[in-house]
Amino acid sequence: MSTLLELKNITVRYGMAEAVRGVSLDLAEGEIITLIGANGAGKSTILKTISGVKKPTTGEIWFRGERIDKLSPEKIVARGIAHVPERRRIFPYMSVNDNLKAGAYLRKDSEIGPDLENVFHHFSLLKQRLGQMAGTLSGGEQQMLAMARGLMAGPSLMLLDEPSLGLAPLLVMEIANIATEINKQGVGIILVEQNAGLAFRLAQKAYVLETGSIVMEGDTAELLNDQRVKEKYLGI
Amino acid sequence: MVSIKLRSNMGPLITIAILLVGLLLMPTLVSSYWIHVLMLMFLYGILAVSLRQMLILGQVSFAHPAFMAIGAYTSTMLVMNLGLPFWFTIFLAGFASGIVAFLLGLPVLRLTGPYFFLATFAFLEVVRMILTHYYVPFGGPMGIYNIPPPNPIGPINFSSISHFYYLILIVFVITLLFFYSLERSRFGQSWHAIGQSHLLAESLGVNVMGYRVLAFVIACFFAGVAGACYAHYMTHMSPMEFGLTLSVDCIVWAVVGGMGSVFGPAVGAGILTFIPQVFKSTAEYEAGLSAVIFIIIILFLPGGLISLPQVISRRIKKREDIVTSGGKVG
Amino acid sequence: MELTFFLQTLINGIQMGFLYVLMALGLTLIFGIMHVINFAHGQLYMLGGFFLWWLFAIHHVNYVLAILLSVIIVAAIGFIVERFLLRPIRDQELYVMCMTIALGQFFEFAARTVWGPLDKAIPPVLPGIIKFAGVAITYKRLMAVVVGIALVTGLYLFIQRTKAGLAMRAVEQDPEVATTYGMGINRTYALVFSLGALLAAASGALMGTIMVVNPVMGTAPMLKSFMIIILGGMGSVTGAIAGGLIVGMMDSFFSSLFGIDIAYIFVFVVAFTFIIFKPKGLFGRG
Repeated sequence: MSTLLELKNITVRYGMAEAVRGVSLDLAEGEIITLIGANGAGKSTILKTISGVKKPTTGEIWFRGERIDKLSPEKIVARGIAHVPERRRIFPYMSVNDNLKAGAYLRKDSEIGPDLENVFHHFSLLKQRLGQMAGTLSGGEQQMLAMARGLMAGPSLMLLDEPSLGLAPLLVMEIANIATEINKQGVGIILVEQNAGLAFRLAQKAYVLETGSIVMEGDTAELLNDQRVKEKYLGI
Repeated sequence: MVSIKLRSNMGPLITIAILLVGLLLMPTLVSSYWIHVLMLMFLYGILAVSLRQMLILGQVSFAHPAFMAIGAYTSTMLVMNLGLPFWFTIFLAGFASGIVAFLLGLPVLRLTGPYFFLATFAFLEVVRMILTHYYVPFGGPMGIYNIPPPNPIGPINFSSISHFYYLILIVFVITLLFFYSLERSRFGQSWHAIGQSHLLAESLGVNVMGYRVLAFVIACFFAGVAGACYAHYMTHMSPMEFGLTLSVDCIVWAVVGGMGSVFGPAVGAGILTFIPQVFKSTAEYEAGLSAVIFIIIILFLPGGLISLPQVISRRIKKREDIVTSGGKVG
Repeated sequence: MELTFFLQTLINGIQMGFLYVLMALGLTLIFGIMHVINFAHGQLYMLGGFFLWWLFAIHHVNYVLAILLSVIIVAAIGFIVERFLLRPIRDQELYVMCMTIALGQFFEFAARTVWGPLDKAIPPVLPGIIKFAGVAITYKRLMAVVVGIALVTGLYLFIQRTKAGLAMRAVEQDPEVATTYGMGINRTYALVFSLGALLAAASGALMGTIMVVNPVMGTAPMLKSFMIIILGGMGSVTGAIAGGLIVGMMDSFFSSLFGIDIAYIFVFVVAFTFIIFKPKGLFGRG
């Protein structure tokens, strides 16, 4: 499997403070990897750096053999990276339909038909609420809309930032299943989660972050047996 | 260490000392026309410097001329109708403005950005309309004539323009000293912090609303005092003089002069009042020229005119660095 | 109050209201999406009127073509302003405000210098009056209303049904997320400012057709527009429409009944009250 995304020694600063220090990671085509860690460990910042919202202070980001860390967010999404942000951040005063159209903004109208069908297949309830104002949806529905919007961008890599936050366990399961299905269709996923159990269930590879640096990495199967991981992140 | 510090502080202090001596000697050096111009520069300087206190907070008040008017009309009416002495009414003028500022500020200072500006603008217009509409106490659109000069103190009877000059110069210097010590005081930086991010300041426990009200009351107090001086010097005033044009001018003076220092707005007010007087012949082009200057300053010298020495010295330093490092920097 | 007087005042109010709406729409879009208070808005309105006069009265360009050209020219001016004068200082609110103030002063100076300070009349277009039910409205004013309605409808469709409009709405609601889906801020801001300028120019051109043009004609309508968007809700399109019509009618009724001065004060007092007690206005949000 070829490498889809690679981060080389990324450091990100907010003013004088270093949020992320010396982070290197890679993701193969069609793989799911996860970044876990406590609040403020720098996980969301890494996603923002990949999608171009924040520029790294030092380091390189390579996507499909092309360097992208100096590109604008618009150019990055055009290359196939979709960012599903923390706390959903759907467009509240737009209809569900318009939110989906926003996801497909850069694409030709003639191409998005199949993707729309795909989205409705994964998120059937959205089909019934196309005209509804997105801000009036429940938390779980908004999370689905956020992911659907991401899918509409036709990505080969999806950045999922804490999709389980604030959701009931049943909904979390549903979203986990959808994520797995999306991945089976060939979309790589970087999952950022505080819910380590969910993260380990979905991902093949995991990186553990503490205060901006990677302290542990490896296949999730192995890490599940690691004592430190079990105590600190799985609560066992 | 201490001696080095003293030396680096001396530059600006010497400049100020020279300026002060020069200003004190002006009545003997120039004609009364230029003395008049200087006085306007001082009065407008007071307005600009006091407005800066609000601009630091990030709240653009368009109501400053209204508070100048409140001070002007208060002092005038107290002197002309009640016979109170100017030396008393000048303070009452300031207090009147301060009190109105307090009352206005309580509901309005909660607002930020455009809402605040629009509220102050609405207030400006309402004040102007009231002054224009009611002939009875305020003299209506023609305003008030024959405003008496301040009562004599000993040999100073205000028969000569230089008496007014020294009075306004003193008020101007006191204003500058006040705001300068405010800026350097222990809590002077709080205002800047609030201006950067009032949300952050609030989360740190700073009483944002308290600082805003304090700044507003102080700023408007000085505007009122300036108004009183203006009225008794000009001997005539009308509501038209306290309108939108002056509001915008105050902001322009503060920004063009530079908000980084207390003296910036005074420099801006001074230069922008002075230059049109020098180039009288090009009066028609004055509006366009000042607009263009304003635009250039915003784009290329955002720190204002007062930051010019710094910018130049930084450029010189950069060139020196390039030279001494053999053509390579960074 | 007599019925005919009431109806006449109402018609006048609606007609003026639509011109206010056009201007307020431009102002509210620029504020809602770019978070900029455009102090040059009144001068863009004025330039719309002047270019129409210059093309139609001086160069005898066909009236319809002249209006189209004048709004396009002003929109282009808006585009250049945003790209070269606003973009560099975009993140500093105070300086952007100062920049638009300076631009307004410059445009007024330029108009006065190039065309002179006197009123210019626009030659009669569609002369004649239509009368019904005892009220009268000139064809000119009727045309202004029709054009106003057409523009507002067109704008609504543009915002709701086109991709560019979608980008405008997205950037307004969440600029950071919008950029991650390809809806760039640079392009959207350029569009919004040009569109705002276009609407102001249209209002000015129509007003000029009905009355006169002069270099200072923009200040009062701009101030009124500020009050309108406070009333309607800053950033709200519906609010600008409702606010414009309401203020148009308030103006008409108060002027007829109590005189222009009182009408002016009343609008300010209402706006002031709204700022204190209902800063979001009638339709504002977020």
